[in-house]
Amino acid sequence: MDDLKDIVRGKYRIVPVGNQSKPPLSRSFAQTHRLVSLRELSGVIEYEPSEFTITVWAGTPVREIISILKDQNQYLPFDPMLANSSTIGGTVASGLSGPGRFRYGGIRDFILGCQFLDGQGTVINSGGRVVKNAAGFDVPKLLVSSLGRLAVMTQMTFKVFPCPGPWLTLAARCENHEEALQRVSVAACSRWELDAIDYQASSRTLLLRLAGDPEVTGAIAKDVEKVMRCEFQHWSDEQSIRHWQSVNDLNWESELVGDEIVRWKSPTTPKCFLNWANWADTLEGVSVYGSGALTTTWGIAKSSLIDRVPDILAKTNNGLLLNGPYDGHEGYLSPLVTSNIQKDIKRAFDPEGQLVLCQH
Amino acid sequence: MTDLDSLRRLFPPERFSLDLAFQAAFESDGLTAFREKPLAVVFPETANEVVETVRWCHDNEIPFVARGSGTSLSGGSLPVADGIVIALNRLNKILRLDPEQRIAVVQPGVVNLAVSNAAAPHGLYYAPDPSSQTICTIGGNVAFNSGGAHCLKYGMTANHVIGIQAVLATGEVVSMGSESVETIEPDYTGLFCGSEGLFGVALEITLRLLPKPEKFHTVLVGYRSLKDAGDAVSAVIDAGLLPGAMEIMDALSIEAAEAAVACGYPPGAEAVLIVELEGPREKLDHERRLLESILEQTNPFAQHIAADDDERLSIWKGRKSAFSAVGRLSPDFLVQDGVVPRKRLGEALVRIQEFSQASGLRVANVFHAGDGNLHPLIMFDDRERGALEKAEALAGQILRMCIEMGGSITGEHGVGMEKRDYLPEMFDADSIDFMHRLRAAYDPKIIANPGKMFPGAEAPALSTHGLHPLEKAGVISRE
Repeated sequence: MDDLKDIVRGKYRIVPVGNQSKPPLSRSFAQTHRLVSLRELSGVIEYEPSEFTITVWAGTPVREIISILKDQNQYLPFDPMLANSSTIGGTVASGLSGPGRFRYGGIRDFILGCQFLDGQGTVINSGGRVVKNAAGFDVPKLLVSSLGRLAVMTQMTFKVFPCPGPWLTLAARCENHEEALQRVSVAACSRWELDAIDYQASSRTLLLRLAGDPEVTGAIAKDVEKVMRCEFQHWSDEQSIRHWQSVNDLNWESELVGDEIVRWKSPTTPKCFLNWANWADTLEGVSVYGSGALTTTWGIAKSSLIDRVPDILAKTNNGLLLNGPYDGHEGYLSPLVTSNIQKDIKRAFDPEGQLVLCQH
Repeated sequence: MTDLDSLRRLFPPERFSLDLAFQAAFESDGLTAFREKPLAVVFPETANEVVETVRWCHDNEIPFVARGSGTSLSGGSLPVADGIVIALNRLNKILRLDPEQRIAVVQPGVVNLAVSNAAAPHGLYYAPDPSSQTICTIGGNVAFNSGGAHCLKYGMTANHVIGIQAVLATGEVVSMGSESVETIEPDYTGLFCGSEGLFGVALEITLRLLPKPEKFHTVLVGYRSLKDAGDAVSAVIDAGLLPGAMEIMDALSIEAAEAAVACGYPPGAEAVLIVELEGPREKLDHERRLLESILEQTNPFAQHIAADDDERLSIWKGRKSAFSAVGRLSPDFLVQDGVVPRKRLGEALVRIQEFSQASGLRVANVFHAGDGNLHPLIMFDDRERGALEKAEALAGQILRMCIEMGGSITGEHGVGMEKRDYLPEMFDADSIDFMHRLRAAYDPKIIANPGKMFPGAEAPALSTHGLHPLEKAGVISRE
């Protein structure tokens, strides 16, 4: 920590990184900033299964945290993406919650506390280590998706939950995207307490994931089929795990792999997702996938097509680049417009601009 | 003396008040120990009027306090001397409810329960359920990140707010978040929630709605000791269950509730535990068997399982009435809101009992056992010389105990006026300094609800009047 403080206070501007599993988020600054890896700040600081809380160093690999929790039959309900290659700090900084966020919530709903260094290298504590706390400003939430550009996160505390139980994945083909949207809406408003509601646009496949005791999920699955009035395939455990791992790796489209593939995330409403899906249909080499009842759109595309993205951004929201040879606008698909308050908040964290400045 | 004429001109006469007698209705909130008369009260009916008012305050450097129904239990909506109150109850429209997207866009003066009532025909509801939900407003809930009995599973208000349009204390109008629960920018919406009115005033709030749970399994269990009740909670948690709610009441609060609402809790209980499971019927049929086997092992002497919705509401009635009921046992009381790690609940209760005996004041205990959130109710009679000071000293001991145990000074009521002096005991100087810098980014002139959250300013006049008038009328009950 002392080394880190010295680096933050030092003469170079810096960008904190974890494992750099998401290069577009830091690559733009490689010429002007020093990339500082927090990988060595790793390990569990405090874990109390009965308290439903875990406190870890920011550089702890996500898969290590998942494994430690699993030993106590607990898990991270926000279902962190790129779990095999990321640190927890990088996951929080890029805000990557996965399909399982549908059931209980995303990172913002489970981060309880955060210790960080401000731009002057001062250690700041925010939030707390108990599951309920209303004291002080909720800075831990602000730091989700902050890309390491406001502060250098060093420790974080999460609320965890008991593992819900084994997965049962139901898959159904839809006639078209509109039918998928309609079915997603029925599923999202249902009584079933689904674990995930996803849709793979290229294959028109609706995916409903249940998690729980097999007797329970089997019974609910029967009702799902009855209410939705369509036939679902019940995937085997192997097929199920393979699919959800491929989504977690942003690799659901087996034909779109390699270094020339760009990957991104965009916040969407179902109607926005439809625009992404229809756009992807017009191009060879693009695939979009909707998670969280279509509130998150993941996209993968050949990098040669990236100049076609602005066509669609007018009808959707901005996106965050996660992988591939394209940096966009400092990691975003289109430039961010920064408001006065955002600039002032940035100055409160980092008065001397040691971290990435607001450019716009 | 500030010339309020230019402010007066922003409103028609019936929506601008300088009348002292009228303002008496606004001089306090749920923390009845403090009173302060504002300079004026304004009643905007549009977001634009709120914006103009805040900008007037900014230009004239006049403090303001935004207020919903004034049910804050920490003095958060207490007026500021030489400041104005912006009463938001007339901004009470649900602007849009989209059942397919499961969102509602509301004005800040919309009553909490009104959102669930509007969503009900679509099989949806708004999850945060503070006990004052029949009257507290969404704007107030956002300001204090209000909780309720179901926080362990469902979180607090902030977890159900996905977008806010607000006027900041600088007069800048900003839009935070969106209609999606996903985001790619820092969570400015999340930061605004729980900022206790120190950043500005929310004008429109986008809420996420959830499908109503299909079924509830509600159990009331009687124990001969608080320890047994606490151990039962641990057993339920250790079994891997995730109840929607787990609440404990001690003997004194049971006595009070029984006298007030005849809730029929097991006679002779030193503690009662309410455990509520919720979800699809298939899951509940499975989980109830597990819960029953767990509770059997925990040494209960009485158990009642709600057979239907009426019985469920009847079980909850005692718990929900507890605070107001204690108010009938005692002319005055202070309610605390500390949090301790769940495993230290038993220890905390023993120490509270010791503090109580040493001070000579009775303390009833009600708490959200699932998340370690205590609500000690410190009873006193202000007619006795020095009683209020003794009660406050006892409250301070409890808060310090919570901090020492690694908990929090507030689980859901917020810091407000009441606990501002303890914030520096929970956070070190650098962290407090950072919070000041962050606050100053939103409010460089320190006009938005000044004197709250952070220690320093003069406290308004202290007086004690026991129950809030709405509690006396039985309209609201406390959490």
